Amino acid sequence: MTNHYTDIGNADAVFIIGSNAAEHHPISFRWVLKAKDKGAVVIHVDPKFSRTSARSTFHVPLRSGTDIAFMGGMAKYILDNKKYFADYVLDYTNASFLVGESYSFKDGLFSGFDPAKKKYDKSQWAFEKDENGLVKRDKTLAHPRCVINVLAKHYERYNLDIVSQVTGVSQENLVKVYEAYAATGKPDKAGTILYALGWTQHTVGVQNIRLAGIVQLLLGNFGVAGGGINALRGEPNVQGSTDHALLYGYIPGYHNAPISTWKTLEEYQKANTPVTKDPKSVNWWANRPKYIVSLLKGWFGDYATAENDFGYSLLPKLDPGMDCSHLFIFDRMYQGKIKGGFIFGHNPCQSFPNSNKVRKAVDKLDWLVVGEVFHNETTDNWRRPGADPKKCKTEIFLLPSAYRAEKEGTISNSGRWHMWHYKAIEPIGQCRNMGEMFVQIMAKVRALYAKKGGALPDQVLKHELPDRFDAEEMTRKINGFFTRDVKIGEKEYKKGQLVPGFPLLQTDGSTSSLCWVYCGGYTEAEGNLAKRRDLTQTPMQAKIHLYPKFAWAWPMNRRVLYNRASVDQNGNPFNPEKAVIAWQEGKWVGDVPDGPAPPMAMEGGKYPFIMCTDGHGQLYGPGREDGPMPEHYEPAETPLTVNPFSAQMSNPCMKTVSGSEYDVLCANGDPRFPIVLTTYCMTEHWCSGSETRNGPALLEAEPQQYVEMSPQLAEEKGVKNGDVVVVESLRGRVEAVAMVTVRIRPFTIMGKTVHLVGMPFAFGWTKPKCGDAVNRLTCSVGDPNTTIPEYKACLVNLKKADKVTEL
Amino acid sequence: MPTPALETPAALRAIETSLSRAMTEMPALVLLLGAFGPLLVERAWLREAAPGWIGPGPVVDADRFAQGVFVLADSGFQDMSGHLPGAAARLLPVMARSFPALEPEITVLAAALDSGALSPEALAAAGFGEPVSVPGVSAQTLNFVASELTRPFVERQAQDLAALVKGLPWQQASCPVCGGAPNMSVMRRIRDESEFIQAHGGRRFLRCSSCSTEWTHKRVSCPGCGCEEPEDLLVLRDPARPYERADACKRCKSFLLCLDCGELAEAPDPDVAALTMIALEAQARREGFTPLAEHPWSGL
Amino acid sequence: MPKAIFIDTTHCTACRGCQVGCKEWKNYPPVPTKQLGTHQNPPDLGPYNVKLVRFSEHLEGDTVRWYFFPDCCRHCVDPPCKGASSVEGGIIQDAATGAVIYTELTAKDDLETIRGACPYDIPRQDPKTKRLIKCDMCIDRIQANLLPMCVKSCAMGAMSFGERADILKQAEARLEAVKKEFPKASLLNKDEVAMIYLVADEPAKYYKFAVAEAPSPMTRKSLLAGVFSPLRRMAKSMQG
Repeated sequence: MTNHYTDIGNADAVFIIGSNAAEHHPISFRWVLKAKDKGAVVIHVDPKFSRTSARSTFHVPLRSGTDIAFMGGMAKYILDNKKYFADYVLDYTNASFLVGESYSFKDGLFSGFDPAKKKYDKSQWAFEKDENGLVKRDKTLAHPRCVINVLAKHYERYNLDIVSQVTGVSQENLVKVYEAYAATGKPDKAGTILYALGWTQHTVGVQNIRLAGIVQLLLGNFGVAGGGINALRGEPNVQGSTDHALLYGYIPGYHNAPISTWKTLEEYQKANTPVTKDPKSVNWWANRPKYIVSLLKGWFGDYATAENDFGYSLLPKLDPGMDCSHLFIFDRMYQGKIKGGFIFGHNPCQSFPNSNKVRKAVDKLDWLVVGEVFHNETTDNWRRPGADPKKCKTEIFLLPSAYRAEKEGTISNSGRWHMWHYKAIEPIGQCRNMGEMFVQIMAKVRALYAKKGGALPDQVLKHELPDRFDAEEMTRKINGFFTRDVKIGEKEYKKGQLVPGFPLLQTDGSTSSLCWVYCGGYTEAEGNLAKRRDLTQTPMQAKIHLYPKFAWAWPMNRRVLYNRASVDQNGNPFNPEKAVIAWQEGKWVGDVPDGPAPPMAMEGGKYPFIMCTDGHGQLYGPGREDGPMPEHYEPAETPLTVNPFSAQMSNPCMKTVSGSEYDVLCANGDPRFPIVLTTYCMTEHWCSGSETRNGPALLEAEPQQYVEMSPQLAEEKGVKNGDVVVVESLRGRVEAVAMVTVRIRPFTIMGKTVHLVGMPFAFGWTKPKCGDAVNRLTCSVGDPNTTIPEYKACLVNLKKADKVTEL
Repeated sequence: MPTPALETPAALRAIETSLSRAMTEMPALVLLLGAFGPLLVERAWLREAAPGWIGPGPVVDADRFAQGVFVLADSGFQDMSGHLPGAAARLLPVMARSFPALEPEITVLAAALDSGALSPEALAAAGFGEPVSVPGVSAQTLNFVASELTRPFVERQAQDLAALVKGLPWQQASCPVCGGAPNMSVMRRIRDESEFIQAHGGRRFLRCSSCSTEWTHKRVSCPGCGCEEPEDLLVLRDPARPYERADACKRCKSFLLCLDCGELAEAPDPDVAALTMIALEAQARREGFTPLAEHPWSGL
Repeated sequence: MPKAIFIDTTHCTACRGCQVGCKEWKNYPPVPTKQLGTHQNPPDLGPYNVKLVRFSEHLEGDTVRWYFFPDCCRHCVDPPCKGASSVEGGIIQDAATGAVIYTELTAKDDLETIRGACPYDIPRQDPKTKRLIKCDMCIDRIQANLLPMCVKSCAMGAMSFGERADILKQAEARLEAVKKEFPKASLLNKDEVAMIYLVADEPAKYYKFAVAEAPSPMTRKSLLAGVFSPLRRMAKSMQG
């Protein structure tokens, strides 16, 4: 989230798309309804009418996988009707930047596409620069290659007629949403966009969110109270684990994982540190080298010196273009290229797409270690229905895990609040928390290495690892220390002292920090700020529920990111009633500002978008794999044979795998599989259900796999409510009870009726007769930027079951 | 003294319900409750009838207040001595019955007040802890009786003064009205109709030992020293009465009684609750902790 | 002093915290259920489910309405089931709270008669002990000054417990507030019951027995005259 939960209450319009907030992020919905009570319009756009819809001002059903068409139509509406916040767009976004001449867009493809590699040469999308290396701008916005004009040209095609035909949303409903939301383009109005996995789990997931970013920039909704773009994250601590580089392509703190062509630290730093010639641009990522060196010092301790590149050579390196996301890991596993591994906090045999393939892939392992609270489809894969345990060669070790209440540590919520959780009780039996498991396993491995040696000994032995896991001490190490006595400016710091904030991290090895964004969250003066529970605030802060003394938010306790965009060039809030920051008597008051610089119009003033190299919000963003501006492509499997926007049906860069017979996709408009399937969580069961299926009262309330469908589809298929049906895709079949409901509506797409069905993914075979993984239907395709799989749209067919075995 | 209104005020109802519930639940405390119960009831009647703050209240500067300057920092409570003879006529007989050991001294005191040997002004001063002497009455008894007499008027004035600072931020562990120390804390469920999700934990209110004003205060901290470390914060309680506890701090060795109404159908009257927690209080003292402020019965 | 519970269905999201919390407090065993094409599960009240969230959905023109109704005994002020009972001490009304309690003596009573007398179709029978079963307002908790379990577990703040007079005031005030958004909103049988429901639309859209059809004082006499038997027949036909 650029903003945070309590801030949702400040919005004049709450736009929920790709999320079922009331059911899956109930605390966020508390603030949605606060906003609604104060008169905000709450808009829910989603294929299914859910409990979120029931509490919204209105619900608009849309065909799964057509969000870019829907949002592109909104961008066009805002531009055509001049609903944007003109000053904000001109001064704070790159609207006036000139796009280079090599940029083009023809029939669904941007310039620079290499069909063989399915990759773009992104240099073709660069801005035009002058002789001093500054981006050329035309502040009159007259130049046809001005970003705003390129943008308008791009979305010219997204008229109400086509958008309605593709999304299945009536033109009337389109205008209703566009009008209600575009009303936040006024300086004193704010709109927030809430999304979740309903947006990320598409082959165009990143571009869905990019387009929301564009809309928010046009409406001047970044940086302000009640605005921003807000990913709802939950109890699995997605925010914290992403910050600490859960994903293969990063190292902690949002730095690229090293690749083999960056042989030295210097090469890594050069390739990853952006440069700007514009003195008014903060270009925060210019500080990256400090964070990298401090990270290496945190990892390797005294071993890391300037002479040995701070241990950079010990880091594993990816080959260029190599994908190690789970889609590809399980593909390699299926091909027998992986011998064994560890799985913690995951139930891939149930929750990863194309689970028939995943289950067989796990069969190919020699050994597997799983840390879990309960037995689940992964721990017990060897005895799954249809498998012969005698033939299974995999030895699976199940390590009993401590449950949530049995361990202490931090969780970072969606609003980046770092919050400490205390241990309530000791773990039962032999259960341990995962940190402890890791520390103890590595201690044994290192002891064996010390005695017997082994491959890559330095990589194993040079790491500075603790003897025992202590969450509090880890939190201090994440914040970071001074590694020797230093003097910075007038102030002296002693060796071993906590670094007061990431602006003081250094490139010379005098500081350590395991994740720079958290630096400043544990101080000598105040201790562990994640433990703060103080609700006091100034009257100005109270107006927007800022609560700056409750827990601690990264970065530097800033609660609203890009908050310098909430004030005009002289530092006066666009909306004085809900001011986030204000320049008063020569200093900033309110939230922690994005850097101490004075307002933009003053001497030494800076642009507000400090994380962007050029300091401006990117309406046109030449950094993503699949284009500088979002374009509608159909899901990998689509009921259409023609994409009315272009000849390009699906995302030309989407990630696919081909290691197994399960890696198959329907032809466009395949008549055998005419129905769109979307999948989701549910309220009564948590994620893959491996915990909650063990709660008898929860299982009583939601006992079995179901498939929600419209009465029209049910009639077409001769299915009655409560009948067991077989849902089939090209990759598998699933038995489910038909839940015939008016909450699912048939869509009219390009003049034809397209049906959509929805299924939860919480039911698995380890609980007898409750059904089995819906992910046996979904496909192994992913977004080109993140490789997040397309769980939300694939093609299926269904019929009444002749014989029932799973339920 | 005006005739009591026909409908029993809610505060009195709560005292009476809490007393009868406590007597049923804790037969061992019948004597103690029997002694203090009538006093609490009578005090509540007096408070209901008391005049409150007369005229414009002290000027409150929001910024100074936020810095910790309480409402009465520059003045004090208004003089209530004119009401004390009337109050004494009602309260002293009750006290004499409740505390037979004090009866002789109370009789002497009543006579001194009647004869003019003890002026109402001096009695009021004694209520605020100033050295006043009455022959035949110990300083301790005089102070106890006088503060019980002045208390209803102080509480009633404080109600009006607390309204002046409603909604203003106050971070101190001392009373925002009179600066007094808390002798009790109460966790209360706060209902907000606009809340989609209701918090179940309850908000903590500290309760002033001298004027009974309640104000919100951070939950997980020691009001004595601000300590927030769970290892240093100790909760003493009787498993049979889990909603009553003594929150003690190992760092500053202080404790504060706490009544957790989060899950209770009806919140008991805090004074009655403090009486039912007398065993906990004793336990806390035995373990070496000192209360942040005393209750009236603490000295007896 | 009689107690009452206010259930504001405009705040309910059918999270079923009350249904699960009730079961856990009572320590009732889980009931094997099947998915029958609805989220409502178990499908009906039973001896081990005295609180059940009922779901109902309607398509009106282009607008979907989805209503949630946490159903349980209403604890009538003048309970017709008590009037219908022929077993002394089987059905009693707690003087302090007004809670209607079924004792173990109800095992000797006739389910059909008692259930037939209930305008809300609440009573069920434990097949083993033959005792009649329904919500007892968590009388054990109330006597210990604790909130009833459903009220305590309601994260949405849709339920409140307290003195009947206070709860009625709260319910009336909330009704006034929601009337702007839901003109058809009403309080169900508020003068006759202790479980006071606020619904936003016609009660029948929530559940067939959401409201007593004859909101007149329910006396033993009218009961014996068979006023409720048609309702009972409806209940039977619904359950097949």
